[in-house]
Amino acid sequence: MTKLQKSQIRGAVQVLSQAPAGAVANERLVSNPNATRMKLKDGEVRDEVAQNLYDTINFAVGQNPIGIHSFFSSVQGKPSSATNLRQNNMLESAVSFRVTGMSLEGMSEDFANWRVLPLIMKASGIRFRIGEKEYFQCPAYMVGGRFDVAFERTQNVATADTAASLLVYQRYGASAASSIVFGGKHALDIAPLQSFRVDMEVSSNAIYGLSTTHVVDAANTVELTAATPATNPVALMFVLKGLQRRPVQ
Amino acid sequence: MTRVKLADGKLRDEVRQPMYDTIVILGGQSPIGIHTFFSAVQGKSINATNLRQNNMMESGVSYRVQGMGLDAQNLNVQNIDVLSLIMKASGLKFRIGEKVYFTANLNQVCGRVDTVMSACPGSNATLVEKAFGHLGAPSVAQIAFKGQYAIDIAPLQSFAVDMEVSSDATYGLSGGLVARATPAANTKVEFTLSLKGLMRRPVQ
Repeated sequence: MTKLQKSQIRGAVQVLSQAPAGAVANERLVSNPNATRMKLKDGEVRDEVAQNLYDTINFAVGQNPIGIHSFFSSVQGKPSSATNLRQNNMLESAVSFRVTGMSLEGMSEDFANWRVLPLIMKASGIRFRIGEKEYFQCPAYMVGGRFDVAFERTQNVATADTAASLLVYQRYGASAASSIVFGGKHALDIAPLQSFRVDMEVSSNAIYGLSTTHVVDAANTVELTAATPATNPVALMFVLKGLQRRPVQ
Repeated sequence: MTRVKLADGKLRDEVRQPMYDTIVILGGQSPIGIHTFFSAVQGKSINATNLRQNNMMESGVSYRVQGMGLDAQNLNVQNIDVLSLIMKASGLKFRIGEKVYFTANLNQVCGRVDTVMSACPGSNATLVEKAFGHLGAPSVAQIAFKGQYAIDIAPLQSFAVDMEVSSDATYGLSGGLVARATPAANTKVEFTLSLKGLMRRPVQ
């Protein structure tokens, strides 16, 4: 390489480094447009994107939560805030998913429901099924990332200190906390058109489930009553975290 | 999905899967004594345990323990002291076969206690109290056995985790502490111990 050629390269590098940050980033993208494309064994090419797969179930006001609630089994008619699966229980043809983690999200800001989320979490078990086999089981609190709750007292000014009320905010999961991680080779693959679902079983077991004999306060409110939404419904969202492979379009 | 070949040539599925069991301390029951996890799993629902036989895995199923955690929660203001006092006065022993592989004070395994509490006058000027407490924090692996220090449970080998709540006059629950650590009548407090790691099971 001649001295002139070397100086031209140095000059080019210098120009690039002087360009605005956005322009440099674009240059890098253009120089490697196939960074997230991969080739299957049969030679077909797929886009691979980091993408959550999620679905939501709703507990209506007055609805007894006991029973098995299946995520990803009834996705029709739900908005994108509730699900991004387009067919019940399966991905489309040529679309696959590599599960590298999972979490359960929930939120309530209704004081009348302040015991609903913690009691459902305590009384629920999770089963993740792909095809015929069960690949993961846990109590809901493990996948929900435990629980955070905040109370706040407000004071009714008109009646001085006698009619103060409580506000409550609660949630499953914490920001940037990945509850369950399937690292490396222990990732779980969902093949195209293979059925999968996540069952959340809210137990009625007399001791370990939502009991009708054990109480949660001095007013003798039984667990099942306290876990039933009042005033407003409560929604829970299950999220599979990982990589989606889809046809290059 | 991951498959591994054993030394004898047999194939196993290897899945990342916690093993867990729950014990309950009922209202009015003194917590003092030894409570054994994984020893009485029959009749429990899936939120309480996923072990199918008392104290052992089935034939062809083994488990590599890479960590453990203990979780509990309380939302009854009458039991506001129960979790923290039991945590302070308890020790854990993890046994496989004849040997003890891990001992710890409970606070090392459960990731400490968080409590939120509020009190305010109700509309009739009586005090309304709300409380929420839990052991364990999100995404915290309390005890980790890394790399070569993982602990293996072979198929059909017995194992258990003992939680001993002490009545020692100095370091345990004694005097008035026993009543404060006892759940109120008609209530209950549950503790779930989980082993975290890899399960190997037959390829079906």
